[in-house]
Amino acid sequence: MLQITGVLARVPVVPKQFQTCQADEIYLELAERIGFLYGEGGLNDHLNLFWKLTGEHKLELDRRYTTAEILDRALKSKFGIENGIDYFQHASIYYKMRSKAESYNSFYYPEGTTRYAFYFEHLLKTGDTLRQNLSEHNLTIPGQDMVKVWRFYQPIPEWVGRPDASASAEYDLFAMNWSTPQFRMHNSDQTGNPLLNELVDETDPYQFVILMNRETAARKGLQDGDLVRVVAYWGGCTEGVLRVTSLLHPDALGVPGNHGFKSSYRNPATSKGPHFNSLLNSAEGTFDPLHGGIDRNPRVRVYQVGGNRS
Amino acid sequence: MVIDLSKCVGCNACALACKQENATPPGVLWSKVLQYESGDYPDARLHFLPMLCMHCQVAPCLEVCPTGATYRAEGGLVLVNDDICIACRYCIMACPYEARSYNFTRPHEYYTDQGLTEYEQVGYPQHPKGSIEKCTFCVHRLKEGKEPVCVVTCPSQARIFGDLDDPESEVSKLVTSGVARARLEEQGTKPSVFYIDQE
Repeated sequence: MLQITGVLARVPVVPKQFQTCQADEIYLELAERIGFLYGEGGLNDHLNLFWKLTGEHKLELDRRYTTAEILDRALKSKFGIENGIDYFQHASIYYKMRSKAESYNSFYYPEGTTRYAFYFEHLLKTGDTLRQNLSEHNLTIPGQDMVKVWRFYQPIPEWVGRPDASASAEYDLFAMNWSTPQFRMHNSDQTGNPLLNELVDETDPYQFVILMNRETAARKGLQDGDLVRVVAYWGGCTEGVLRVTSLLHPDALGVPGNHGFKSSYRNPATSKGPHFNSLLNSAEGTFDPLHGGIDRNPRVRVYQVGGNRS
Repeated sequence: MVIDLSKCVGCNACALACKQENATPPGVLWSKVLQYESGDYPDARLHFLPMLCMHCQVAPCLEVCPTGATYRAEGGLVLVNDDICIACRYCIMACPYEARSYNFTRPHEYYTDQGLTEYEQVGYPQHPKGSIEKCTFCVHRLKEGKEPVCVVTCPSQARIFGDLDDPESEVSKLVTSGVARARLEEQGTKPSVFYIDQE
């Protein structure tokens, strides 16, 4: 039973370095230059709605605010944190205990009643609206078989087969990716942080590598330290150093973390390691039309392309 | 210090906090969490082993130091006086826990070719070229009545800090009861860091 609710916020601990700029500041600057920051319906107006800013915390519609000022008002107005951003100068998380009653669904409904969604009837309504709108403008979803698309908009579960069902047997492993404590979702340019990179380099043998079950590697004639290429059933590929382990399922291939960025405009530190996303197919027609999700575990084959790097 | 290995999640927050607290330059880790695995799939297990200076009561690094630069400080801490260290590095060789390292070069910036940050400019004079690097148990914090930064940072509260000379302290009770044990006991160094093993 989850009885703690909280807010996590981070404030910079050092001044901005080397002409860097917080991304939200860039959006605010763009909004001002393009001309949709101020006035009714402008970005400030939308931020008032989004952060539920009321009373003295409400943004004036003709004034430019910094990200810190907006966050400060949001923390005070939406979350009721009296000191706002100042609180997070000394703490990373604000939390409060919930009552036991609040932990139950019934708390949010009239006394003595509750409701658990069993059928997703809202999907049916959403589908009807979408169908009507697309029909009105004579549109379809690019690359998608519309008959299959409408099957997603129903209130009961339906099995949808994997997109790699026709892949040949040589694609015998399922590629997997997971967040690591140091490199989660590339939040705050973690991958480009040289301190985190150093820590992982020095202490973690399971990052910046491609992981394979020990017995699977032996069956394929691969050894720990081999430079290997991983090719997804649809053609995407990445390369990296193989690490054999007993921690992984024999049918899985692990590419942990968030590494191998390819743009030359990025921090060079981010280019290190294999690039998991290269194995994912985002072509039109391949993704889930309901959620926009893509197959996160494509079938792959692996072979050695270089000498042993251990 | 007692480290509960059943609580350690291997996040290395301790190591990063140590770097920030002590401004150690690139290549220097006073504290770190090593990883290794045991068993075969599906009964394999990942293990974490936090490592730092053990502040041994019978410290080999102290015994081999020819100048007395490595010394026993108040509270049993093993520290280094850079002013009289001749960088012979005998101490590095003597430490069975590989807790020491050496600054071969003048500390450089973490962000390549960007120059030292303000923080690095302030912190790096404590780490000159030719100095020996090791954990101090955050002696500067202890003097202020605070615990080492790795202890207060640990998100799973795996580290317990206290006075081993006080039989009533939590660390003393864990050690005397045999719940917490030292690593490499056979070396006879009598470490001041103990570990509670995973179940």
